[in-house]
Amino acid sequence: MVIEIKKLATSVAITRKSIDLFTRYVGKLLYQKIQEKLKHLAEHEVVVIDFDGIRSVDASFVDECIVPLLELSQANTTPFYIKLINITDNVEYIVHQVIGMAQEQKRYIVMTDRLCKNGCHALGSISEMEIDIIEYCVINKQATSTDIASFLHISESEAYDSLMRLYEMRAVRKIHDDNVFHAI
Amino acid sequence: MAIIQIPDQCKDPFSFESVIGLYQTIINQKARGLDLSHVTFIDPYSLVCLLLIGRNYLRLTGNKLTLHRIPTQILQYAVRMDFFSHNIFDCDETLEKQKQLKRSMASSRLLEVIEIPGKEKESVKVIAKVISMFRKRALVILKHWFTLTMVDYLVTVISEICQNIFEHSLDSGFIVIQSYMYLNERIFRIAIVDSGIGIPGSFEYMPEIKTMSNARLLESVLTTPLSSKRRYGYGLCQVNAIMEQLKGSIFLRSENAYISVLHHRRSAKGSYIFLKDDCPSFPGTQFSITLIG
Repeated sequence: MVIEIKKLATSVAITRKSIDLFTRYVGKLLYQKIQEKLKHLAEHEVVVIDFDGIRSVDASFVDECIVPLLELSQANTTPFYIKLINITDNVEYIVHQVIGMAQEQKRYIVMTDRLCKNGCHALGSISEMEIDIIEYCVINKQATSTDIASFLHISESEAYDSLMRLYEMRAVRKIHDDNVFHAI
Repeated sequence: MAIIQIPDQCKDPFSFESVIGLYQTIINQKARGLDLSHVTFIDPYSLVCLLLIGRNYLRLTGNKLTLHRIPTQILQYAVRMDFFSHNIFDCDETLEKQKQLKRSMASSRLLEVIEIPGKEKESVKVIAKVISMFRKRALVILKHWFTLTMVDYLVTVISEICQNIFEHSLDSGFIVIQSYMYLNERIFRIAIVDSGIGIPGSFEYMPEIKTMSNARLLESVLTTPLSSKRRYGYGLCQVNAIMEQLKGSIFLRSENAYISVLHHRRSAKGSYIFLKDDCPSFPGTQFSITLIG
């Protein structure tokens, strides 16, 4: 599913002609609109949020729109994955800062279509090892714990745990009950 | 009822502290007016803070302060900035139409004083208008700094600080933006001010914060994700991080304290930070965001 956020923003009076998404108010409104679209979501579907036409966002918008979406994607009822595409440097920076600051032992990672300034196709609070695993999956499209274990010289169980953690944060896809994890 | 002489200390947020020092006298003596004859220059921050002084006076006494003996160039500037459109001050002089500064696009290195309402929905509309106007004029305002990415970051800064007015201050506020030359320096300044409950006031119910001095609290809100309302309070933290990237400076004043963070002047330990408590008390929160080129 592709959600063109600019198109969605044009349906809100305040942001009709805007190339910026800001304030908690706008964040909440767009989150509600995205939620409506998610009603028809299939399990393990990738929700692509296209930021084409949007130049900047602020932390309040991200806090009210992107963070709850990530939270929703992590719920076990219908797992789905979020990918942000066509983001500007500003959107990358603010999203990274906000979801990277998340506290209370709740971590968020969001995938993007570009190699970000942290050297990864994902934003948020990500360890060096997790960056390596995500990038391995992005390049090879998929990975097993055996692949990651041999790539990072770690034990297979450690590799599996890391992949599972990334799956729980919806940074890699796991469609079947096998040991294969897919890139988003 | 006296007329209070305003000193020639309206050049930047630091010098304007002398004028804020007169605030209690203006209120307590129920001053009739302010004499601006000594003022030779007034920067955007001082302009909107002066507006706050007038508004507080109006709210407390029910009367407008009158500006006396205002030099022509200051009057021209104030009129150009829509200072008098907010109906807060009276002025004993009028400016003939031919003496008014032009409002052509070429002279639009500024965004006139705009009121940010204290209610969410109205405020969001005004912030949208401010951002749209800033984007349209950015090429002229930020002539010496302009990159599209820089404009994007400044849009985020404007939005974050303006939102704090309706989210935290429980009051309305003002924003003004301008780039200008002063003492051979190119200065770009955003001033966003309110006279609400202030940052210490919005953290009143957090006991762990109460032990801090007000200046330390201002430092904390700029450097740590701290919020009086939300799980994650990144707003001002983001503003500071962005200004660090842009190598600008921040002056943040609230109640009786201020902090000044100079990202354009760094030592090995990082940016220079100045904290000051025991300043003259002045209600609300006042921001000045500056780039010097």
